Amino acid sequence: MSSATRRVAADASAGLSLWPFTGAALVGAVLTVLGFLLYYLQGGLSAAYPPLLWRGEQMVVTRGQGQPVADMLEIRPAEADDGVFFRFAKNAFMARPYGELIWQIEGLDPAQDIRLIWQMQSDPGNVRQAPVQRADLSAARFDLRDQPGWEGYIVNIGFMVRGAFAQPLRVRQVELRPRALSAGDLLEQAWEEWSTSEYWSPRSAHYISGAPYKALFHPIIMVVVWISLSALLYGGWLWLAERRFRLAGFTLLFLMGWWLLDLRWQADLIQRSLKTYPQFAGKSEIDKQLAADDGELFQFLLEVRRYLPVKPARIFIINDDAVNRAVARNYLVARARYHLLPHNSFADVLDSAQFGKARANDYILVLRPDKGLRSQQAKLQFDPRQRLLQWESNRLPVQLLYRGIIGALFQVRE
Amino acid sequence: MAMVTGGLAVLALLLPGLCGALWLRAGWGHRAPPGFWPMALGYGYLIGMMAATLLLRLMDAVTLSLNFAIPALFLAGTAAGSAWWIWKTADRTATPNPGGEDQPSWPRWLWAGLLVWLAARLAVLALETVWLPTVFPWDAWSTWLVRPRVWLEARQLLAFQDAQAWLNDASGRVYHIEAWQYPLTVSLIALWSALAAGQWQDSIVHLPWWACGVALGLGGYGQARLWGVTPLQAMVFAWLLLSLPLVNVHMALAGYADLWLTAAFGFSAIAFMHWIRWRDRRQGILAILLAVFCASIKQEGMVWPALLIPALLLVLLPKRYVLALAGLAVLLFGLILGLGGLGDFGFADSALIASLLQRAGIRQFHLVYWNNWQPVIDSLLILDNWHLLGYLLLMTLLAVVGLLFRQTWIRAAGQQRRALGATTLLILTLGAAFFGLFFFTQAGKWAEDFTSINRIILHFTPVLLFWALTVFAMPRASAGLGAQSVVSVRR
Repeated sequence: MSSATRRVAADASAGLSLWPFTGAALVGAVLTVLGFLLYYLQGGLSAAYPPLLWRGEQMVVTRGQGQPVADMLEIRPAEADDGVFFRFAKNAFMARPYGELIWQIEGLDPAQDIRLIWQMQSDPGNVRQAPVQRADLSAARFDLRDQPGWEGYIVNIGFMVRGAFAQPLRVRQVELRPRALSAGDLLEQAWEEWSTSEYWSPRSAHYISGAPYKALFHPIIMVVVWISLSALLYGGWLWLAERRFRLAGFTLLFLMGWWLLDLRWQADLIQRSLKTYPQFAGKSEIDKQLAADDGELFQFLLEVRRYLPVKPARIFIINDDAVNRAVARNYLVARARYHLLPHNSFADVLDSAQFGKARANDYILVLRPDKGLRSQQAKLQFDPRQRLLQWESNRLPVQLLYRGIIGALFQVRE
Repeated sequence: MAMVTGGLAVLALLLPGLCGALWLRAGWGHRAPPGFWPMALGYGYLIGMMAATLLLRLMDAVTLSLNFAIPALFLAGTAAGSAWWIWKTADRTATPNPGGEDQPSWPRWLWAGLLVWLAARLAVLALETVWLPTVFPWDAWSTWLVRPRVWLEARQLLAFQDAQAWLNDASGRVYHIEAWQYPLTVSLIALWSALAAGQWQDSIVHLPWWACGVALGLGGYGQARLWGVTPLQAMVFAWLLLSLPLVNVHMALAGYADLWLTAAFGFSAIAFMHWIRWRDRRQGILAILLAVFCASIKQEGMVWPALLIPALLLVLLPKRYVLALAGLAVLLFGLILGLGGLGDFGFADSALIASLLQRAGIRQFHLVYWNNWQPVIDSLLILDNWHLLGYLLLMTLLAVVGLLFRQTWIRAAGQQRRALGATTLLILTLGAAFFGLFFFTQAGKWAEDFTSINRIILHFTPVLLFWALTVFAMPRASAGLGAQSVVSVRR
C-alpha cells in the first residue's frame, strides 16, 4: 500500500477531509483576528475601556491622615515633615488602552515633589514612578503614553506628595482616559494578554481568570469564535461538496481549541514555576517561610518562639490594628497561629471579654502590623510600671517577655 | 537521614495505591479487562488512603500512640494477601488478541503524544507542590493542615472544639479553629505523610494532593476504557480532565479538601454510571464505597451522594412510579413555596418548615433569590477555570436531546436509551443542586465573589466530562458486562 493510499485510508477512518479542514481552520483563524481588530478599530474599544473615574471618598490613604470632607478627601501628612501617599484604584486594570491622567485636587504646590507611583502585576517588587512637572500641574493632566513601565496589568497606582504643605490636599476625583490604539498596538495588546501570567495568590484556589481583567482578546472568547467560524466554513464546504457530515472534523476543531487554551495555560504554569524556583526551591522549611510574603511575620515569630516553652502552650493572639483587621480579615492572626504550631493558640480574640478569660501562665501575643503608626487607636494598653495589660475594663497582670517591631509577647502572671 | 525520610514519604504515597489496587484486583474476578489496572490504581489510591485514615482513627480509639509503622504493616500485609489470592486464582489461559494489524498507526502516536503532554503537566505541578510552602491555600493553613501538626506532636487526635470550649478549658489540650466541626479525613491524610516522615515538612505533606490528581487521571482513563471506548478516546478524556486549570491549581496548591472530594465523588458517580449502563455489581459497590468516603471529606460530601438517588430511582422503579415521584416532588416544591419557604418571593419564613428541617438535622436557612447569572456565566464560559468545559456541556446537552428523540434510538434496544436517560438525569440533578445552592441559599454570596462557586463545580467535573464522553464516544460491542445487549447505532 502506498503512503498516499494509507493517508487516504487513515483520513477516511477518521471521517475527515484533510485539506478543506485545514483550510477552514486557517481561514477561521485569520477571520477571527481580523474581526476582533476591526471591531476595536471601529469604536469597540471605547465600549470595552471606558474612562476610569475614582472619587476622593473611594481612595485609600496609606501615608498621612485622610478624612472625607463634603464630597472630597482631605489629606494631611502625619508629621510636619512627612509626605502623603494615596491610592486611587481598588481593582487592577490594563495600562495600554489608557494614556492620560486628569485630576481635580486642591492644594498641590509646584514646590512640592509630586510623583505618580504605580506597580505592575508582572513586576510588583519594582515600583515605577514619574515626576509630575510644573506644566503638568498647571494643566492638571499627565501624559502616560510614553512613560517607561506603563504597560501590562496595573495593580496599584497613586500620588506621592512630599515637601511643605501650606494647606491640606483636597482630592475631588482622578480620571484615567483611554487613547486611540492602532492595529499594531492592538496586536501587541493581544500578545500581552495571551502571555500574561498571574502568580499564585490566595485567590488562585477559587478562580483562574486566564487573562487580565477586562481583556480585549480574552483567550476563551477568541478560541470559541475561532472554533465557530472554522466549523461554519468546514460545514459549508461539506454541504457544497455534498459530503456526508461526520462528527470527527468538528470534534477535532473543538479539541484543537481546547489544546490551544491548554498550551497557554502550560506556558502560564511554567512562568509561575520560573518565579517559584528562585524564591523557594532547594530551601529549608524555615528559609522557605522566611522567603514567603509574610516572611517578616515569620521572622518575628521565630524570636517569639524563643520565649515559649518546648511543650505546647496556650496563646491568645490579638491583632491590635483595627485597619489591618478590617482589610485583611483575620489573615495575620491565623498565619501567626499556623507558624506557632503545635502551640495551642486562640486566633479569634474579638472582644475584651474573651481577652479577660486568659489565666495565669497563658501567653498573650499582641500583633501591631502598622508598626505603631496607629498606636493611638490601639485597644490594648500596657502599663509597664504596674505591669498590667488593659483592654476596656479587663486588666491582666502580665510580664513582658519580648517586644519586636510588629508586636509583643506577654505572659499572664499569677 | 534525608534519604530515609524521603523513602518513607514515597512509601506513604505508594502503599495506599498499591494496596487498594490489589484489593480491587482480588475482588474483581478472574480476568482484568482492558483499562482495569489504570482504574484499579486510581480508585485504589483513594480506597487505600481511606483505609489508612480509618486505621489512624482506630489506633486513636484504642489509645495507641499514633505512628506510621502499624498501619503501614497492616496495609502491606493485606496487600501481600491480596497478591497471593490474585496469583492463586488467576486465569492463565492466553487472551485472544483482537487483531489490530489493520488499524492505522496515528491513534497510537496521538495517544503517546497526549501521554507526553500530560507527563510534562504533571512534572511542572509536582515541582510546584514540592517547592511551595503552605502560603497561598488559605483553607490549608487556617483549617485542614492545622490539626495534623497538632496531632503529629501529640501522637493522638486531640479534640478541636468551639471558642467557648477553648476559653473554658483548663487542661490545655483542647484546641480551636474557626472550622472546628469540619470532618477529619483530609487532615488525617496530611498526618499520614507527616507520620511517615517523622516530622512536619510541607513538601512531603503536600505530595498526596499531587498523587490524588494523578489518581484522578488514572481512574478516569481506566473507567473510560472499561466503558468500552478506544485507548485514544480514553486518553483524550484523561487529558481533558487533567488539563482543567482548577484541577491543576488544587494539585499545586495543596491543602484544600476539594480535590479529594472531586476524586471521591467523581469516582463514585462514574462507577454509578457504569452500574446504570452495565449493571456491574462491582461498580455498584465502588460507587457506594466512595460515596461513603465523600461524607467523611467535607460537609458538601454528605449531600452530593444523595444527588445520585433520582437517577437510581429512574433505573430501579417502573415508569409509573417514577412519574408519580416526579409529580410528588413538584407538589412538594409548590407546597414549600405556598408555606413561604422563599422569603424574597413575598412570603414570610415558615416556622413549620424551619422546625422540620431542624428535626431532620438541617440547619435553618433562609431561601432568597440571588441573581447570580453573571458569576455563573463568567466562571463557566468566560474565565479560564475550565477551558471549554462549559461549552462542551451545552453541546452535550443538545446532543442528548437529539439522540433521545432520534427515531433509530427510539427503535433501538431500551437499555442503552434508558441508561442515557438516567445518566442525563444524574447530570441534571447536579445542575439543579448547583442552581438551588447558588441562586436560592445564602451560598449565593460566595458565587458573587467567586470564593466557592468554582470549587463546587470542581467536585462535579469528572462526572460531567465522563457523561460527555459517553454521549460522543459510543462503547464498542465488546465492552462491559452487558456487551451482548449493546446495540450500536453508529454506522
